[in-house]
Amino acid sequence: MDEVLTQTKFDILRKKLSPTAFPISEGSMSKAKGLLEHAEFPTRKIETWKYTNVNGLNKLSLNGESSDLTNSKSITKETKKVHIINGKLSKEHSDFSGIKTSWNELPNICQEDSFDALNLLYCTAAIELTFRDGENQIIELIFENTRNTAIFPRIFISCKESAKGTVILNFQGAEKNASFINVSTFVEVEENAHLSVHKIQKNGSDTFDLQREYVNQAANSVFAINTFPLSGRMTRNDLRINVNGSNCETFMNGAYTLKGKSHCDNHTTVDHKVAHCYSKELYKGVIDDRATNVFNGKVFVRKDAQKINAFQSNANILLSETGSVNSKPELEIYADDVKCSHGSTTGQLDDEAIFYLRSRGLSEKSAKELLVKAFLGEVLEEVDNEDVRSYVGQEIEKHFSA
Amino acid sequence: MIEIKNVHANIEGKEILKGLTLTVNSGEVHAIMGPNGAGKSTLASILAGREEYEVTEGSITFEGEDLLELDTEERAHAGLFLAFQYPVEIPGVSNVNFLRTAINEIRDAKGEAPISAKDFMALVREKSKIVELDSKLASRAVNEGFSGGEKKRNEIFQMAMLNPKLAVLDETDSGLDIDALRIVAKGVNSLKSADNASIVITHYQRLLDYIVPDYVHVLYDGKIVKTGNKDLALELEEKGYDWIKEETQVG
Repeated sequence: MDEVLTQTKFDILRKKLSPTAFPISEGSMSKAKGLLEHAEFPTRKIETWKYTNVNGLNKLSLNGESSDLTNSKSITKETKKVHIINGKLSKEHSDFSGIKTSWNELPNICQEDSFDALNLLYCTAAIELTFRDGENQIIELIFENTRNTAIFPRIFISCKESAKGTVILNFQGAEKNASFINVSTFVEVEENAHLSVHKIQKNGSDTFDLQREYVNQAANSVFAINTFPLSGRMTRNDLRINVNGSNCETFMNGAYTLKGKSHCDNHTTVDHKVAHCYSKELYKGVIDDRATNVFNGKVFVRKDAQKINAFQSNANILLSETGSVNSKPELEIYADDVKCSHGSTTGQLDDEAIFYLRSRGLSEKSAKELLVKAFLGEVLEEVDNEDVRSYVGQEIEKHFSA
Repeated sequence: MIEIKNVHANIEGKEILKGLTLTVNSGEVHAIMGPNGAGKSTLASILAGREEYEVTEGSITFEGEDLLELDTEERAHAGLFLAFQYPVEIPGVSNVNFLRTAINEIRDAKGEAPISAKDFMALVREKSKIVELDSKLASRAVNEGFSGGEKKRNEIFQMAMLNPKLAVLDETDSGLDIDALRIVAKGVNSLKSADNASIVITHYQRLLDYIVPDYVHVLYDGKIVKTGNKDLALELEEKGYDWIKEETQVG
């Protein structure tokens, strides 16, 4: 009886999960377990979870029930592809050459984050991608989610000195999928390296998707990440970038299209620890029906990090009276010779522009669609991979024709 | 072409048009002049179907159809075009992209197939010449960063592309220098045919030196109080509107 009373929400959740088959060091294991035993399940009282409620996680049955994935497809052509089906690496259709998939022991990393601890203890796939040369190899990881289950990938990306690489994290869920996706991605961008990550979150309508990226950038490196939460019940992205070396460039872009009762939360942190760096962040989205969106962007400029140029912008368009947005851009600057700006706007489509377009013969629907595409187009212009850009463009169009 | 009969219209409960009657036939150019506040822009707005305006009485028949029953886009499909007094800037939407969508939706409404990319580009080249619009402007975002003159030329360019039956030009001359005025007028004149018509709304006579109207109407206090030929416009330029006001009050 006592045991039942002291059960936390994490305990209830853990009962539905199967412990990982991957080898974990004693140290990481006990740290992760310790974290989970003492961690408070997210509530409104915790600042970083103030507007995002994940209680629904415990309502997911995760019983493996299947739903069809009608439009499963990779986004890129002619690239190296790895398929992760319902959380597990699939040898079929995958090309593992140069990719690490078998482990004597998972790297000894455990972040101070209860969902990362959960990811480690219940990891369903561990994979390491390494880029060693300047060829800009493109690797697409396709996550096909057709069963209602736990999908806990642990991804390590390493872009070696002077190497160039592109990773596409392509999450595709069946329309009614009700999975719990929980991803930890660890990224190391070494000196003079150039890495681009494109993340597509096209999840099933009842899927919860919690993802964290931990990025370290060394001197003279370029890192770009484009995030596209396109569908799903709940999507939470925590992007943490440490800029540890000087002369770095960091680009963060996001575009989201929310409708129904979807909730999307993008938390980003870029920490400028040293001088002479540039970062630029642009997140834009449209919110329809009763959907809700949260944006929290933090930029730190540490004491000796002079000559930093950091720009951040979040813009939202509400298409309904019932949608809502909580946007909080934050700058914390401890250096005195920097150029930083941030801004956030939330509004509606311009009625005058809609009338103008209709007066030329466009229906109200196509007028709105044209304006929304133009609004999100600013983000797509930042995407250098043509396959990703055209896929997301098509998805935005589909979003409106549905 | 269009028959406006005894139209009363208000905005936010305030009556602006108080029994306006006007008939325009194919091949005709009508000028509507009048002092500020007479209801000139209200007329343009109700023709285009701005929802803020409420027509409380009267009727408007356009090509045999009840215009007031049509949505704004259906009016465009039927062949009505409004050149805006203040063209709207639409960042991110390219002029040509939006015009292709407009042309195709109009064609679709008529049961016609979409225009081919080749024909469309040929049309853009041909029509942008009429208003001396740089082809670069044609592909830029709609009116974004355009000068006042470029915006008005872009309106006439759109008009040329859409080839309407009835064009309503709402104070197209406002804010134009003499060169831009000449170009805009040249565009309007070159589009004139026996099958279409225009209503030119203006405050000043100046534009009518270039676009010669068949009829000049004076709109005052929500009604057309005087109709004449182009000489009436010259008289108004010379004497102002006060004598019209006095004449109306006496009458």
